[in-house]
Amino acid sequence: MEIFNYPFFKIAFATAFFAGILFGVVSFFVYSRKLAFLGVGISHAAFGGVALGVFFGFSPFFSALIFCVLTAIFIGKISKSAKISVNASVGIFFSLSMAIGAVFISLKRGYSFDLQSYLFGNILAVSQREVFYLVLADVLIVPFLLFFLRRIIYLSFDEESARVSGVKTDFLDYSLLVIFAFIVVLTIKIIGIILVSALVILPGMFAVLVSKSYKSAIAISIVFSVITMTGGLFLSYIANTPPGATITILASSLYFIFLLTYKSLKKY
Amino acid sequence: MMTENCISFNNVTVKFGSATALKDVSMEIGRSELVAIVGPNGAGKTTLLKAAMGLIKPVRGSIKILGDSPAKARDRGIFGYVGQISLYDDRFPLSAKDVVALSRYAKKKFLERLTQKDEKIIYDSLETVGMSGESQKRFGDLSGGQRQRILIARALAFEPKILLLDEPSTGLDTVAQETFYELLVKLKNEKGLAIVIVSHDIGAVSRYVDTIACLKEKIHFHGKFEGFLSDENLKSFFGDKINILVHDENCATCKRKNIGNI
Repeated sequence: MEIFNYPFFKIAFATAFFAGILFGVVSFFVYSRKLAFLGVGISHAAFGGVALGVFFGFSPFFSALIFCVLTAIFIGKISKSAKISVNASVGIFFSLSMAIGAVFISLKRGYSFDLQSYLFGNILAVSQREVFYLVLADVLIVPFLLFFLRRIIYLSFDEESARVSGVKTDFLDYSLLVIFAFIVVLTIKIIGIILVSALVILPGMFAVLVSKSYKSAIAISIVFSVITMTGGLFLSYIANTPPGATITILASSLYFIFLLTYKSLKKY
Repeated sequence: MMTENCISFNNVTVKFGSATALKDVSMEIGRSELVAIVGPNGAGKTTLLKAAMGLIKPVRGSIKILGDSPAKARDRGIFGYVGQISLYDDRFPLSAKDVVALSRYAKKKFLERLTQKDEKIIYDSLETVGMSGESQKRFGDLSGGQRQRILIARALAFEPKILLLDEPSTGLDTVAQETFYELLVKLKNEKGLAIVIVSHDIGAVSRYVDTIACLKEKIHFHGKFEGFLSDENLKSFFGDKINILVHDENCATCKRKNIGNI
């Protein structure tokens, strides 16, 4: 295919593939631990982190990473103490982080901030170094999650029983939150703050819809994610549309088509 | 008959902020004993179970589980716990056998696989609750009674000494409740388990238990069921607007009994 003659597209394809694996694995756990709305909160918190980095002259990537990890841990603490509901605390952080971002960007005189690229990403502008980070994240995060798979499944299915059975629930919960924050920050440049929350939710939801076991659910989640990431990238090239948005529309459409037709399809 | 004390509460008080959930609760529950603790919503029933398992710390008093602190007992794998069935996600992709296997995996080291012995324990647990034939079905596709049995099988596969059940009859019809409590009596007799049920439903539970206790911050033991069902007791725990259907097996002498100002 002539499209692969372009070096930037080769990098974009590799990005879609490796990010797809990451989204696919983490998405199942996001579904299991009911972290979907938390994903929205953390991805929007990244905007505040990026803005703080820009204002203080740090790398926006690392400031967003630290900001998101701290936000994830803080929301986790609140949800454990149960003084405020998780949804309420996510809602507050969601808007607070965006507000902090807007204020700090406006205070940085003479800085032209490409808001569009942070909100919607640009997979075609990813560098080789960023692909390397993604591969590294795959190599570190996927085995970690699989290593603790059964304990996370137990924790997700029945937190209280898991604790009573000796599962280190707090350690696993905070690990998941930190991993989640890390993935969000790592993939912002690819599909942006707004769209990343869809892609950490949809593959897991799709997999649970069509799977009978957790093992097949994880496999299907990865396949769904990789197919929609790479397929969406091709579609965006053909239709000349923004890649991040095209990937999200493709993933959402597939999910809703299956949601509406799966029961009928199962009969045949 | 003297029985070994499995659960021992000594003047236990639990508070959440300024609200008192349990007040000066003392109780002793022995091996092969089936105890039901009943009370209205918000009476502290779940708190009592969590305190027994060391998930909530009392502000006053002490709890001993087979001579150890609750946290130590938890580390020793003493407890089998069955939570409220309404809290489980129907769509979670787990087969009935997967659910039971979770408690065996909890006993394993990381990456350690299940052995033939584990598989046998899982099968035996499913067999004990009469669910070995349904082991490959998705948990969410089972009926309420079947799910409850699978959760008991999961608790049994952990090989506990004490079985704690939180509102186990919720969502079960009368027949399923009867079968379920018969299973608990069998487990108590055959495996020597100490079993504690907390429930707001004093109906089916009361016929099968050795001891029934009422909880509303404070706990009151009433021995066998007959000693409990006085109008005064019911009024003090459930308020003065109760309407009870006194029911026998064939509905031959069924009657409605009003207590208090209805």
